[in-house]
Amino acid sequence: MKRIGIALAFVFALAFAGGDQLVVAYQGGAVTLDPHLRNETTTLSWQHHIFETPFFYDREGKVVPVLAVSIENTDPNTWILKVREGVKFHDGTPMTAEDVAFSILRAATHPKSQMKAYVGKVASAKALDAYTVEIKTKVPDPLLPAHLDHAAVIPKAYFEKVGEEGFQKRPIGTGPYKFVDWLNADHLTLERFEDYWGPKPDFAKVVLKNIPQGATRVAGLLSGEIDIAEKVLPQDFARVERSGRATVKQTPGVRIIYVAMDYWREYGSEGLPEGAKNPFLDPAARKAVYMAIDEEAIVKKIMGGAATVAQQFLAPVHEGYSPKIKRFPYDPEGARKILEDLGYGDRNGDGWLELPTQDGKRVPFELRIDAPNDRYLNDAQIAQAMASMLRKIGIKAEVNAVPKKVFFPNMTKGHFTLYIAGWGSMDSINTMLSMFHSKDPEGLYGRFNRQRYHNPEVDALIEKAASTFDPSERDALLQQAMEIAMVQDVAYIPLHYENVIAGVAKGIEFSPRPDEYLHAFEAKKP
Amino acid sequence: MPKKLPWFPILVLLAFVLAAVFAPYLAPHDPMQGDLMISQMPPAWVPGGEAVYPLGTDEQGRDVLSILLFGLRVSLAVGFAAVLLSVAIGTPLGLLAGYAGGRLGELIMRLADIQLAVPTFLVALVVLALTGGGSVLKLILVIGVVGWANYARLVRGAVLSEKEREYVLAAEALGMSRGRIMFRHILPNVLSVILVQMSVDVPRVILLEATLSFLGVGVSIETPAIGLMIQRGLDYIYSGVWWTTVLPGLVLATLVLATNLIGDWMRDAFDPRRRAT
Amino acid sequence: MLRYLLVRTAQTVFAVFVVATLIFLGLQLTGDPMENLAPPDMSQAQVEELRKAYGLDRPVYVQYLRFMGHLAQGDLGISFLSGEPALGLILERFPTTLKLVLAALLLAVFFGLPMGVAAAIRADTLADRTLRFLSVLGISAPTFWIGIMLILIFSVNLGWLPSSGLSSWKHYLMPAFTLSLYRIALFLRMVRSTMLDVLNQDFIRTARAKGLAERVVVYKHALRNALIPFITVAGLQFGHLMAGAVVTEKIFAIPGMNRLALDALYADDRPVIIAFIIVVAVLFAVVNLVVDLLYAIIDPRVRYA
Repeated sequence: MKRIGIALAFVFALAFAGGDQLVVAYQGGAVTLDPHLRNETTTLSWQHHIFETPFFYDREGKVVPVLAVSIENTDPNTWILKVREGVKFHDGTPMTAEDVAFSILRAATHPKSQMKAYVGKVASAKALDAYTVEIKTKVPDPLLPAHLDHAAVIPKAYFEKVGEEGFQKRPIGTGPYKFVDWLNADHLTLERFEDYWGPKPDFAKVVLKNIPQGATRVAGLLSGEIDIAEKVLPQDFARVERSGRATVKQTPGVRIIYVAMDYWREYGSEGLPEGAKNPFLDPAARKAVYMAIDEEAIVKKIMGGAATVAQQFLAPVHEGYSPKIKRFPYDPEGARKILEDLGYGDRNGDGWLELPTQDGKRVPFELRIDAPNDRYLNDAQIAQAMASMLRKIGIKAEVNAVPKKVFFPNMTKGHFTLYIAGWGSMDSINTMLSMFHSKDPEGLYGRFNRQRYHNPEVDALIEKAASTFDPSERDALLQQAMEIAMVQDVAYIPLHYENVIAGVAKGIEFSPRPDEYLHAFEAKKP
Repeated sequence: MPKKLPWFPILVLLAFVLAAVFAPYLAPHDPMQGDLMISQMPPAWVPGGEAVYPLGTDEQGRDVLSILLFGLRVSLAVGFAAVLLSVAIGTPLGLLAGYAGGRLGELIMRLADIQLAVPTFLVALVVLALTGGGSVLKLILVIGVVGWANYARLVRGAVLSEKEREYVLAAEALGMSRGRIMFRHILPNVLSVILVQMSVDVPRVILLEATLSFLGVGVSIETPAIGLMIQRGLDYIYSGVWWTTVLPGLVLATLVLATNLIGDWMRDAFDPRRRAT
Repeated sequence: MLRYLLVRTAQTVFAVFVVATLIFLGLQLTGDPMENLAPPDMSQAQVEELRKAYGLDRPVYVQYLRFMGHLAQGDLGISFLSGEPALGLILERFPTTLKLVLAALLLAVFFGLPMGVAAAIRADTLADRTLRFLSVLGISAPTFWIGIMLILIFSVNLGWLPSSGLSSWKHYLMPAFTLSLYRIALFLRMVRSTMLDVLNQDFIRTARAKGLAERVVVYKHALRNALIPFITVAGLQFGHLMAGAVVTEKIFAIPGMNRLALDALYADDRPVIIAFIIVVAVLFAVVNLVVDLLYAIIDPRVRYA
């Protein structure tokens, strides 16, 4: 009897250890396997197992060649791309310049392509010979190589044979894993591609799953059903570590959570009492709010340590990160004093600071903090904590936390005085153009500069950087712009970078990437 | 004869109503103001708990008891107000359809059919989700409006059977106006049907509100509400914080249980069919 | 009979078109789907191209006519998110929900029916009162909370049952029970009250007077009659479960069609939302029809002309 038990246990151990299978749980699921349709992190994460791109970011934020071997520009609008030789698609056909050109063009021009934000400037792409592609852009794009990280390469001949719908059902790429089976937005089963050009991944079979609830992902990780769980919630860290079956891995991410403040209306700002003057046109008042926020406490208590206190808008991995910029220290008394000195002191003695109104009266300094409640890790809680902190210095703050689909349109329309949101991009030029450059009527610049920060000096520096091909010169320009915007103007209040978190079962080597993509092929057996 | 009054559930419901009404005086703390330094403190009787926070605190360091007291307001307000709104819309339409009949009556009933072609839960969910979640008032409006069809059908059915009764025929013979007959004579006689349906709907709507809030399309996150608290508690059940899911659920279930028991009694007392047997 | 079927089908088709129109128009009032669909880093011009690709640049009436035209051919549109036919996405997940719902319904009948009969034949005894109280408890417990409590007990504390997915019979236990609890209580209550009604009727008294065994009276005569309203209720509950398992599918991470619809709602994937509601409306109509037909088969007095 006992012996049977041992034998059974052995069999089970084998079956469960699975040896060659890796199960990864994500917070969402890919909604399509067409690599050019949907630009969203989880969808792309799943697709990256099947498809590869000419270039991609490495973990240090550097752009590295993947399916390309080199690229150079012969003039500002022309690029010559050398394609890697000896790469095969999953159906065994060799990848050529023809496929690469076709794919780049499809990503750039397909009516439903969401990759145009990256490769939309491409005017043409054609194969010069079997391994050379010539790319022409409509306007100069110094960052084209980086932007090709969103142009997944697909086999032209196969695609034309099976058509778009057929391709979406049975996709083929050059990636380390081959498509086996999937249920849209639920799971994707993959098998190792034995003819892969690069180092082959350690696991022969991979299952990617969508498990939306954080607690459920952890349960699966601890019961052994799941090997890697994305976005383990901070409150479960201790439990995971204690279990002895898994461990939590964290990497500081590139997504910053920030506070933006109305920069354009003197009166009529929508998060203040009716008729009250908007104090935030003055950088001193913005700095006061900055100083009133105990970011260490937010990171420790609300984020459970799963975030890194931000010193500035860009993260250290970004181009344009200036080591000179540091946080204004937490100082609630100092913050209150600044506001009192600006004339917003509490004159009626009710404890709340006051704002003058257009008709010469004074009203309590009430402030609505807008925030999404389903977009960032603990977003609404961060807003609530910030409200508590502002109440401590005499600002009667309250929170309006709503779903992202209500939040973002409202912010874009300017229905706010102060809001909390996040921004994550590897591309600093994009960040500066979208968030710091003043808005222009055509919507080319400052698209997410919803608070309408504007400084001509900063604009000029950003524009210059955006057309500079030399990387170190570009970096210096961006740093200079950032120093003006963050220190002198207090354009935004940086809160923290969300850490990228994964729970990893014992016996697997894996750590998350700063760009939030989660790739099973980066997991190793020890 | 109906059984004696169900005292126990009545007292429980009364206690909940009083707690909700006097929540601002009863709640030991501000339900919205948290203190991160004391977040997730267990209830007082558990080691680590403190008597100042009898039922512990949530992840924001807010007092669970205070949230529950204010949360009862949301549950009760939505439960009763939404059902009353359904009655207020459905009853006149049902009276009209039943008494006046004809094309108009036909149209009203077809509309009710279409409304009932999709479950009310789904309609409320879709409307709230697409309009970006809501407030207590919005929940009352949406749930209330969506619930009219049932009342219209019930009332119409009851009117049809009352219409042929002698007192109506007599009133008609006396030359009374239709509106007067409808509201003065028929309505009081179909009231029992409405009351019985309301007794089923109030607990159902209380649960519906909690479910919608749980799914993230109900009241806004800043509102102290029971369904929301459970939703947020769900993320913490593996980390040993059970009180933010178990306690609000118990309160909700007790509230619904009490209203259901009272409803059962009302069905026995008012249902004409049962009275007869 | 055939005529009856045709009329009912026509009514259903009409209702579906009205429902579809209402949702379509309702969706127009809820803002621009592009605000959620387009990734934030696309430029305004690129978003406009995307809008054009989905036909959202046309005037509303053109969009409506195209939508209705496609609907008439059974085409419910292409998902904004995945670029695949919306109906296909739902049908792909339909079997999962169906399996879960059938398991729940089976549980509900298995427990609810005998408990209802037991309560009825022991009316007003302690056993009856206990069962009735339990049934009120059953309809009072919030489904989502019960699901969480089950996970808390059986997954977190005891570690007996898996908390997500539907890949083995063990996975079915908690979600199916969560879904069935309300129905067990409902069936118990309704079987009890109809049984009591029937047991009080003359033909039962006659049967008893004839000296038939109590068991025969209860099971052959009374239960048979009580089953008719039961089938109606069970049928309607099937429809409600199919379209109402959203909370259970969410809590237990089950890839059913309700969760797809919920995700579509969160993401504003309108074609999928519309398709789901139409599928539900059709399902309801079919369930109602089947229930009515069953009614006629079981109760020979009912005839559809």
